[in-house]
Amino acid sequence: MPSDVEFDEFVVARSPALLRTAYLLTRDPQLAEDLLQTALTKAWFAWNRIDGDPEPYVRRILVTSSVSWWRKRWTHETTTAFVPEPAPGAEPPVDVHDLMQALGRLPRRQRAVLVLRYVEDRTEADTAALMGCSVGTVKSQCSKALAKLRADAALGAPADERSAR
Amino acid sequence: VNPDLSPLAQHASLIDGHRPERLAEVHERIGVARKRRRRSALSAAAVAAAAVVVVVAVATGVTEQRGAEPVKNPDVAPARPLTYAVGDTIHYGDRSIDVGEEVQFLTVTDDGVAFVREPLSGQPGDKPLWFTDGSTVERIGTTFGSPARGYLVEASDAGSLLVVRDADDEMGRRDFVVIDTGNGEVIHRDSAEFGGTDVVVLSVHDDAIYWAYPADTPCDLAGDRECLRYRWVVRYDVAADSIARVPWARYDEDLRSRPRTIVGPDRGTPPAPGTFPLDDPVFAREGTDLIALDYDGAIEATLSRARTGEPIRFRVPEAATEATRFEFSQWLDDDRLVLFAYTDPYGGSEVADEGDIFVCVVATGNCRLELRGQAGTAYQLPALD
Repeated sequence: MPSDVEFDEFVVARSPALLRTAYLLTRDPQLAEDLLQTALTKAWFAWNRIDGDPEPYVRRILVTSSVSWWRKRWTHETTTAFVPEPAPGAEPPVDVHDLMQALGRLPRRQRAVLVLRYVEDRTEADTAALMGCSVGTVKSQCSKALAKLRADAALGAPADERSAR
Repeated sequence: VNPDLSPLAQHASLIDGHRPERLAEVHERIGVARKRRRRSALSAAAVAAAAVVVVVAVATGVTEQRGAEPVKNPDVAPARPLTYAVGDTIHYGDRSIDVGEEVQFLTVTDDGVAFVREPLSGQPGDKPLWFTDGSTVERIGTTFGSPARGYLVEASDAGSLLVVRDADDEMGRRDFVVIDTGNGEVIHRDSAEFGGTDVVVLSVHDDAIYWAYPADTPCDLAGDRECLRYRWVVRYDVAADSIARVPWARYDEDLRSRPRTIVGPDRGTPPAPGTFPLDDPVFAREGTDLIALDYDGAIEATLSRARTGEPIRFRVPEAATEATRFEFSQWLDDDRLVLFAYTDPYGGSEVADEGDIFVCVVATGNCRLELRGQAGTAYQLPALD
């Protein structure tokens, strides 16, 4: 049987970070929580076969699950970005709402590529590994996604003045 | 020039990630998932047992049966009565059997009902496996599990067999046993050390049992069943009491002779193209039509009968139920099956206890309401424990 203690410790320690990724992938806090719990549940079944750090493995499940969720859960997804309450003293970015909406208009696979590459700052190789695809696919999906964002009217002129890392 | 997405990271960081109840919710999901996968997961003991036998088979040159398997006789198998439990009572056709304690699991063979009874709060451990033919109740074996985790018992789609993960022996090893419920005898038993890896039982029939060994595939998850479609599958031949590995194509061929096998779509994707047997199909309701979903219950899929290749389509009478989700429970005969209809409590893929029971005819696609559920009445059904 998998080690329940190690699994529990992982869930407690790494859920906040994983939830952030899930939120960017789903743009909905409730869906994000659902996605995270789904990924953790799937991971539990393979827990004792994971060699080394389990987080990449769980992240991969997170990403692939978000891409494959298109039917029933898709209908629950909102088109308006949720803007969480800012922490005391923190000012939310002024254009984050537009960005979240633009992100939501991308196909899921392209959205996942952008989140992993430019929000989480992962390499193309890491992104490919997490998505279970080739580096070439990551490049092409990334290129298409960025082109769509550049052309997204909601981002407007200010977007052209920003640059991806 | 690319848009700057870095504000999204800050935005995401504001989401609350510290929910104290999350761990409990994840464990609850694990319990539900284990129930759903009960049919597919056997203990590491079974894996090791299978591996040992296969290794022995390889060593002795008794592997890769390449000759044609006898095609199964298409004669109609005997019908099984609708079976379910409510509380302490098993309903087996028109018989009601009070077994004295809450039924947490049941499954059906041609001879009767195998079940586990214990309190809902029961902890994981070795549990007596009981059997009733509708008149008497006797202990038929031991299995491992709990109400939350499910039990590792699987019945053949037709015939008399049960595949059971047995109790620990004095050395801490578990047995993988096959029981014939016609006479209560164990017809096959293997013991091996606990290896820590799940074997995935693909299908259990009256003359053969198939399973895959995830460690021998590129699969990450035992639950990723389609990924298990890789090179070969392990086959236990009941009549010969022998185990050998056979190519997937042979498994496909055998499935096409099985009237009670439903397969998913041929995705044509690695590791090998082809269909895959679905032992607990799930349907979403759209109007009066039932839309088949994939194994995870998230993606629309086309299901078909393995034997004929005909697509399976079901519909329910208008206003027959308010349920939104239908799950396979049991075959009654080669053409009729039982679906449990419920309203998904979370909008996801969790199984509810309250709902309606429908009987559907595969040939016509028509489903009729067999038993309307009542608020507060929790059903225990085969394959949906």
